[in-house]
Amino acid sequence: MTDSVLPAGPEPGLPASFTRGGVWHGMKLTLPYSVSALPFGLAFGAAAVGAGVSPGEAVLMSALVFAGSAQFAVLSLWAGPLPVLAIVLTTLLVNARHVVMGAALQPFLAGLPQRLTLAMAGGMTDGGWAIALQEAMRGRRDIGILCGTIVMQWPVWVGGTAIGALIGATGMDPKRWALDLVIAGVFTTSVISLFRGRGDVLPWLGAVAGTLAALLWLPGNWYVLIGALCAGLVGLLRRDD
Amino acid sequence: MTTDLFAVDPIALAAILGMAVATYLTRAGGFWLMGHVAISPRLERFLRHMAGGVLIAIVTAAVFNGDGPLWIGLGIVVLVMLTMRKPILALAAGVAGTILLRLLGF
Repeated sequence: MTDSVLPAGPEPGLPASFTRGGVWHGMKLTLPYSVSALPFGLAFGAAAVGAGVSPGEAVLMSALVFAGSAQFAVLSLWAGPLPVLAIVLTTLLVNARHVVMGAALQPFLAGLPQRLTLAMAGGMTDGGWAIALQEAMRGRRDIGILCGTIVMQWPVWVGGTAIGALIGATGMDPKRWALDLVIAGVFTTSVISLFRGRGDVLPWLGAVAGTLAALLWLPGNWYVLIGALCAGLVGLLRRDD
Repeated sequence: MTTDLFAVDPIALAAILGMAVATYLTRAGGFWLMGHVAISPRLERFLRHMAGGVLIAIVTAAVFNGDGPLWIGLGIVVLVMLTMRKPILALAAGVAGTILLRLLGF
């Protein structure tokens, strides 16, 4: 049994490309993801304002960072004076999975100008990666598909954040509207979808233990980093199976 | 918090720019690394479990700091997610449950 997400490399032959048809194809495949990005964008905007982020900052964050999980994650750290280092490190940890995802996709897109690949990588979401990889494994090695996924998700995420933030700024009581549950709830659904079987149980218990220890004995917001490192280390120490 | 909707605090701006750079490094990092070094299965496992660990840490802290309505709402999220596998439905059901309980004064 292996928990590798890295697929075997591509069949030799066709070179990778960047076509308008690929962009269009990627856009069509992304439609279901766009539809579901809207409520999450709304929820993020409202939760961000509830956490003390201004609507302008929330929209700027969605536009520049464009990474839902990381953005939700830092909201739990958003209290003045802002712990900038903890916020950036948490973002790095939440998005660390992208390194593996990019590495899995790269062999299929080899041969394209590196500048183009590195530019498109900047907008690679979990959904966009899954679509691009699936199509590449079927033989359609077209970075236009990744481009199409970005075109279909970015405006929805940013627009949804703006609307949600403006609703949040009307002065709603965040607790009354259960916005404190939104962040935990989004992550609970992610954790359940991420679960890959028994191998995940020990690392995740490690995360719970590390987090509780940090909450009980450490000041500040280091619990995210400590919980994440505990999970990573337990996962690393586990016997290869 | 400021009353100006579009105000951007300089420290918040620094945090957002830092987040943007960190996110870009992870997204481009895998593409870049593949041309230079091999990503071992161990490193891959470390990165994947760490991502899951962040999510768990935040849920754990929310439960730790939460109240009854939040716990019940989260329970609803888990139940709906396990039975129907629909994240948005699960979230909506949990939020509705928590709002209702707080309206009732719990």
